Amino acid sequence: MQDHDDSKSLLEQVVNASQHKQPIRLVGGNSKPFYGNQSPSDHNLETISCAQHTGIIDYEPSELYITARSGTPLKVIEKILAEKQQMLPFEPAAFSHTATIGGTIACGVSGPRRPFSGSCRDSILGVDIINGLGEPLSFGGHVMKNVAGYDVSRGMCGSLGTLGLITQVSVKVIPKPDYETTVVIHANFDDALKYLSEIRQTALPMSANYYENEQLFIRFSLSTEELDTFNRRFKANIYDDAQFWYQVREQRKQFFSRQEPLWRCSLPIGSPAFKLSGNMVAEWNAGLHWYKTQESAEHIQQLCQNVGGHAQLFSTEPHKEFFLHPSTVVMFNLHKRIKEAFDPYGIFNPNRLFVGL
Amino acid sequence: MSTQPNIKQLFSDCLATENILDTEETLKPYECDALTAYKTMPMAVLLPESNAQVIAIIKRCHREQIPIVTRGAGTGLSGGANPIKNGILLNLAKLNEIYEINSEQQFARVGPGVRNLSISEAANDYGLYYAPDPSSQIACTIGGNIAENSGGVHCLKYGLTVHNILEITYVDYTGEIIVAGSQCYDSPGYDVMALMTGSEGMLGIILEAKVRLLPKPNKSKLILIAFDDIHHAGQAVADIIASGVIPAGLEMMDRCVIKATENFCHPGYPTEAEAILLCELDGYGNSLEREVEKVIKQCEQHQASLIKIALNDEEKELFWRGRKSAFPAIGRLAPDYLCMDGTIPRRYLADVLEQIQLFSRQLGLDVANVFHAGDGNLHPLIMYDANIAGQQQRAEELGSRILQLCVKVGGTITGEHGIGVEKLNQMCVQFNRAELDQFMRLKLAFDQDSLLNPGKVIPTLQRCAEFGAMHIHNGEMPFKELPRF
Repeated sequence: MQDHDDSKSLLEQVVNASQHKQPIRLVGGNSKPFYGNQSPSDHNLETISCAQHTGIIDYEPSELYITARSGTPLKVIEKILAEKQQMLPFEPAAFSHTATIGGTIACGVSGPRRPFSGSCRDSILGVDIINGLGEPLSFGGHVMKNVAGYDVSRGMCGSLGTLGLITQVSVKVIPKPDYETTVVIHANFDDALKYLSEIRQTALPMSANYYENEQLFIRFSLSTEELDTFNRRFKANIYDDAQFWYQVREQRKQFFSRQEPLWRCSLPIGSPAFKLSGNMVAEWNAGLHWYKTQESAEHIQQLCQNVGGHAQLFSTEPHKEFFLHPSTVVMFNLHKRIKEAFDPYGIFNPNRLFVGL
Repeated sequence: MSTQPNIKQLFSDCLATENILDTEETLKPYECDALTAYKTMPMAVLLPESNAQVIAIIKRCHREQIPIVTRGAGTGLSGGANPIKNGILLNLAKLNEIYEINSEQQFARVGPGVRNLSISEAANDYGLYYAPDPSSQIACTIGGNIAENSGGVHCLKYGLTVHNILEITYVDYTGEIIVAGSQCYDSPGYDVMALMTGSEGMLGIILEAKVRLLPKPNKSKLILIAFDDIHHAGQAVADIIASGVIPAGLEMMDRCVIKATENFCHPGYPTEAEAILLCELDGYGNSLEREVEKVIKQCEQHQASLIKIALNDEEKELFWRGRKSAFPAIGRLAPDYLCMDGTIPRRYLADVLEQIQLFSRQLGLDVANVFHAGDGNLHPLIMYDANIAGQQQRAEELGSRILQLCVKVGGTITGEHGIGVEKLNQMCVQFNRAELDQFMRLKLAFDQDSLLNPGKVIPTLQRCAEFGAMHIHNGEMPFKELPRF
C-alpha cells in the first residue's frame, strides 16, 4: 500500500460542496454499498472518495492503539496488527478486500467477537473529521481515558457518513489470545440458549458463538486441554476448521447465499427464534438473529420491536425502503438536530441513515 | 430566611414543599461539589422523589426558563455540579431504587441516585458485579458516573462507564422522555447514549439506566514490583502491555508516595525503591498463570529489585490499601496540594515523569506521582503552602506546565475527573475554536435554550486564557473519608 495524504484535496472538495450547499455521497472502498438507504437519485450525487487517503500514522504495540488515515484498507491494518500478535477487538467484517477503516467505523461494523471484546464504537479513541461547514476538526485522541468534551468520536461510529467526512481514526487494539479453540455442541435452538446462558454465568473466556442447523459453535480463548472438562460437561467436540469464523464474519456460510432477503435482527441476548418461514442462524449469545425469509418488513420489524429489538434488511437486493427500523418521532427529531449541528446544509449522504435525514 | 420568596410557590405543584430547599442554611451544603474552590449558592435545591416529579420540575423550568444543574452525590472533582446563582440544583439522590437485577441477561436497571457500589452489592448474590469502580464508588451515584463517564482502577481491562451501560432513559430540557441504547448489542441511528455519557449534565437528565453486569473473575493475583530506577518501571509497564497481557489494574507510585504511604498505613512497601508497580491480573485456568509468568519475566528484564505475589486476600488488601491511601498520605507532607488528572500515551511515562521533576526543581515545589500506569492516567500531586506568598501561583504554574506537556505528547487534560468548571481554561489548549463551536452546536441540538448546566465544559472565547487545578488545603478534601486514587 502506498501511503498518501489526500487531506488537502478532501478538504477542498468538502469546502466546495459546503459553499454550494451541494449534496455529496461519501465512500471509502465502496465495499458496503448495500448498507443504508438508497434511492435512484443517489447516482446523480457527486462522490467524494477517501480511498486514496491512506497510511498508518502511528502504531506502537505497547500503546494498544493504531492511528490510520480513513482510506487505509482494513486488511492492511489487520496484517500489521497480526505481525505484533494484536488485533481489532471488534473483529469487523470487510465484505470486500476494498473495505477501509474509515468506512468500517462509519458503518459501525462489528463481528463475532463483539459481545466479548466490545463493539466497533467501544474501540474508538479519536477521530479527525471535516464537518459540513468544511472545517477540519479533531476529537478524542490516542488514550483510553479521555473525558475532555463530548464524545464526538463514538458519535461518528455507525452514522453512515451523515455527520462528517472521517479523515483519520484512532482505535483501540488488543493482544491476540494465546489460544483460540472452537467446540461444537449438537443442540436444538432452545437447548443452545440454555447452554449459552449457563456458560455466560461463568467466567469462561468465550470469544464467539454461532448457531446454525442444530449445531452450536463456541470459540473460547483457551487451549484444547483446558476445555476437557467443558467438553465432557456439554458433550462438546473440538471443531477444527481454521476458516470457520472467517466465513461467519464475512457471511460466506452457505446460509447467507440463499436467494431470499436477508434480515438482521438485533435482539436482547438469549432471544428465542421467531416463527417465520425460511431459515435462521444466530450469533452474539443469540442477541443477533439472521433470517432468510420472504415475510413482510412490517411483520419482522414488529416482532423485533415487541421484544425491544430492531430489524434491518441486510442484502444487496435493490429494494431498500426498509433498511433501518424507524425510530420514534422524538428520537428522529433529535437526529435531525444532531445532523444540523454537524452538517447544517445537509450535504453528507442525504437519506442514507434515515429517509429525511 | 428564604433567598427567593416565590420559589416554593413556583414548584409547589411539582414536589412536596419539604423537598424544596431555599433558605441559606439548607442551601449551604450544596454550594459546591468535591471541588471546593468554586462556591455558588443556587436559587433553590429540589429533591424529587419520583420520575414524574423530575419531569414536572423540568417542564416548569423550561416554561420559566430557569437553568438546571443536576447533582448526584456531589463527589465530582471538577465542579460539574457547581450550582448557578440564578438556577436550581436538581438533586437526584432520592431516586435511588434498584428496580431490577436480571441475572439471565446480566444487567441491572437502576435509578440515577443509586450508588455505584450498591449495584455490585445487589448483584453479588448472582455472582455478578458492575465493573467501573471510581475511587468514590461507596458514595457516588450511577447518574453522576454516566454524566462524567467515570473510570476507576480496573478500566484498562473492563472499560469506562460508556462501555458498561446498555440503555439510558433521560429527560430533555423540555421534559420529553428519550430512551437511548437498548438491551441489544446495537441500536439504529446515532449513538445518542455515547454522546450523553460524559456530557456532564449538559445534554439531558438521566432518569434510569440499564448497566451491564459481569460474572466475577474466576481468580486473581496481585503482584508488587519494586524498581531502583523510575525509567525501568515505566519501561516495564510498556513491555507488560506489549507482551500481550492486559492487567485488571496496573498502578505506579514514585519514591515520595511510597514513603508517604508506608508512614501512613504500613502496607509493607520497600521504602528504598524509586518506584513500585501494583499489577492485578485476573483470568481463567492456566491463562492467569501464563500472564503472571509474562509479567514477572518483563519486570525481571527491567531489573526489578523486588517481585512479590500477594499470598492471600489479606495481603492483597494490604498492598491495595497503600495505593488507596496515597492522597491522604501526601496530605500529611504539605499543607496544600494540587491534584492533576492528565493522561498520556504510556510510552512517554518515563520522559514525562522526568520532565515533571524538572518543572518541580524549576519552580521549587515537590511533586509526588501516583497514577493508573496501565492507561497512562497521571495524578501528579503538587505540594505547596498557600500561606507562603507566591507558592500557590507557582503550584498553578507547575500544574499548567504538566497539563500542557500531557497535550503535547498526545494525551489529554483530563482522564477521569472531567472538565466541569475546573478545566474550562485547559479546554482552550486541547481544542481549537472550531472544535469548541462544534461542541456548542451539539449542546444546542440537545438543549436549544441552554438550560442544562450552562457554562460548564465549553469555554467562552474570553475564558481561553489560563489553566486551573484541583485545590486541597490541609488535606481537607471534601468527602475526605473516601479513598481517592
